[in-house]
Amino acid sequence: MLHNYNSMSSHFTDLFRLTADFLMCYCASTMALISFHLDPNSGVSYYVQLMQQVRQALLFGLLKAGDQLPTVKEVVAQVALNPNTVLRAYRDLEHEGLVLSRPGLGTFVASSVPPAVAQSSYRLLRTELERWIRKAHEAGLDDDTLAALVAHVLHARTDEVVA
Amino acid sequence: MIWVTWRQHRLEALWALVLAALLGGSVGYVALQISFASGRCPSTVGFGYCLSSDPFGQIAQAILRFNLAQYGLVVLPALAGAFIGAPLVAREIENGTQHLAWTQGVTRMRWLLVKLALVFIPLIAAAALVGYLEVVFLNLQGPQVNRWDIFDQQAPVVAAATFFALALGVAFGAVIRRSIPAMAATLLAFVVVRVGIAELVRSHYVAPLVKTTHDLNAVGSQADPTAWWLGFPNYYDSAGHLLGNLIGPSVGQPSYVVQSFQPGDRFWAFETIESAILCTLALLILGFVVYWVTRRAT
Amino acid sequence: MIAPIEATGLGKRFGRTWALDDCSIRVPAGKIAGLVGPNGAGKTTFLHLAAGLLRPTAGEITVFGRSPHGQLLLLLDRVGFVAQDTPLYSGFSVGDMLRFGRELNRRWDQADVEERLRSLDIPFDKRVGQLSGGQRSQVALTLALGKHPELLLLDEPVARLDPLARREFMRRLTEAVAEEGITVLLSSHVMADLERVCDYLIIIAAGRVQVAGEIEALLASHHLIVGPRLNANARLSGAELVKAQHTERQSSLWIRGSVPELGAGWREEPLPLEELVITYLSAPRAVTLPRPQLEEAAS
Repeated sequence: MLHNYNSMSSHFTDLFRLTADFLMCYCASTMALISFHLDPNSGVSYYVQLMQQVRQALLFGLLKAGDQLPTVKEVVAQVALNPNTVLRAYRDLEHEGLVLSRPGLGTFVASSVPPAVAQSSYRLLRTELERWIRKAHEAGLDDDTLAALVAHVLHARTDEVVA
Repeated sequence: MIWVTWRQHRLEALWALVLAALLGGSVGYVALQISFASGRCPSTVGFGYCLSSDPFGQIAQAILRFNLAQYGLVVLPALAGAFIGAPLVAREIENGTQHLAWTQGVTRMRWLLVKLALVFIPLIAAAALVGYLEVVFLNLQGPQVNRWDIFDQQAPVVAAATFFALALGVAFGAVIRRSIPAMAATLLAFVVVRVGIAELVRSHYVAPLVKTTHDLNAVGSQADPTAWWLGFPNYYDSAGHLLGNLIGPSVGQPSYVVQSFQPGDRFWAFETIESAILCTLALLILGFVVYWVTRRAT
Repeated sequence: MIAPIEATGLGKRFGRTWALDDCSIRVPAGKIAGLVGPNGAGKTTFLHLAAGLLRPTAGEITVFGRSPHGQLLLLLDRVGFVAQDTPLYSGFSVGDMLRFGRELNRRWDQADVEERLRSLDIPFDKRVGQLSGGQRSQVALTLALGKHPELLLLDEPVARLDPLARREFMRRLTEAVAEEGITVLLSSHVMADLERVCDYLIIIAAGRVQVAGEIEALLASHHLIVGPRLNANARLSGAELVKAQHTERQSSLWIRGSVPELGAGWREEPLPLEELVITYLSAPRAVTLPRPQLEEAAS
């Protein structure tokens, strides 16, 4: 009797596992493609952080043309953020031409998005950066000053562009 | 709202049911025993009833000796008012749950009225039932029974007193907003009002009759147990001078005696009048409670 | 467009103290508004007035254009309220609390409510008194959302919760707002939550409204400038001085408006939201909010 019960229960656990796997696969197809992570201490407002993370996802090929961005509800359920903030980020991304919002359907990556940065160029840039950092260290700059210099130049570039 | 009231007060309902069943049961049981023994009573002076000496009858005798039902019926309204009436609103406010209850989809008026109706009506009905059993019990004791001694415990007054006590309790609870002080205030106020009515007001509902007789034994409960003899008999000598009353000194030879009384046939009228007074007070208090809770309480 | 909450010259007195004095606020629809202020500033009083639990002593407050104290059923149906310390009936089971909500509200979504609590692993037969703080607050929130209100009022809903429970609560709250476009007014001390979740801010101190506005606009319009010590007759043009602090060598000015021409030695320092709030709370007489509503109402 005991033997029969054990073999029966192992059948049940197998069945359960199969069902669970099936459901997970099914759900995965309706899960958000990327997730967001917010840093309250970065000094950068949340909607800008969201935009940056979408841009990075595009850059590294995690999001391709036609992919759907996580819905406002999905984002908010994950990171406890004001829905209007998410809407604003998506709207600004739309103004930049990176995404397209289709009412009732969601927000999708625009087909006109430039392709992701090629792995080769990415590797090249990284090697050049490492070389530059080595030179800066030899010149006596510490990491914080390095980062401030980069930020300053970037900032100055943006001002030029605006002007 | 009906389910909510039941769910909140079901424990109290259980207690009330048990107590009412105990009281009603004991009165009913004694009445039953009396009616069983009534055919076989020896003719006696004074008592109009007897009880058999078998175990059932002995239980009834024990119940009678300890008089618990009689005390219980006087106390029952006060307990209801204090333990059920006072916390009705006070506990809600004490625990802060009025912030929950009063922001749902029912107005405060409806919340209060349904609660009052569902809590009051069964309790008053139970009191009336037990009071009715008391009346039956007294009826079985024969035509010479003194009902006036058991004025508070009979059906109309005990039900009206329960209504009054409950209303008083809810009012104190709503104003004081803390259960325990409201319970204490209810008990105190109830006792003061009931004793006040009984001692000061009751005898005046209808102008009492006065019996003047030369037969010095023709006044008092011994002479006529169905009447309510007020105060003490006053003895006068043949010249019309007041000699004193039962307790005071008696100088000279009493010739005739004078005492006020309410005749027995007025008993039910008196019960009705007192019930009406208590019910009116209760309704006035409830009107105040409704005003207070819907307009002023926080 | 009828504002979910509009207060004009609102005042409430208890005994001889004015808990709220001359408050004029309008909470716009679809926003999550945060109510900030020291303890005893009048936040709870304001929320109770909006929920219809109190009646104003002076001025008026309307919710969707009607007076909440009148106990209109159509308002009671549209406004959800969770009081401080999340009052629930501790002798009830969770299922009993849901039944309570269903019995007392006309429009009640039992399936939605059950689904929410199930996904939080809160058992229906557990007594409310035995729930953890986080679970209680979730039950209270679920109860308030069960009637699909249009306005949700929350009085320090996460005050005593651990960080995870707080985050869970906020997730549920923002999710409900994303789904249904509810307007929310919540009072809180936790600035981090307010920054994430709110887009409108009301600062109350000592019964008076100091600031009310969209958080973005507030951050854009307030600046902190630091420079060498100013003398007493220095004037600020084009901007309003909220607070000034001086040391022997240095002056710090918190201003509202556009940043004036900065002379030598002057720089602008970042002013995050928490610092902005603290600036106002530490300068209780600084009031940025004019009384336009009162004038509008009079005209």
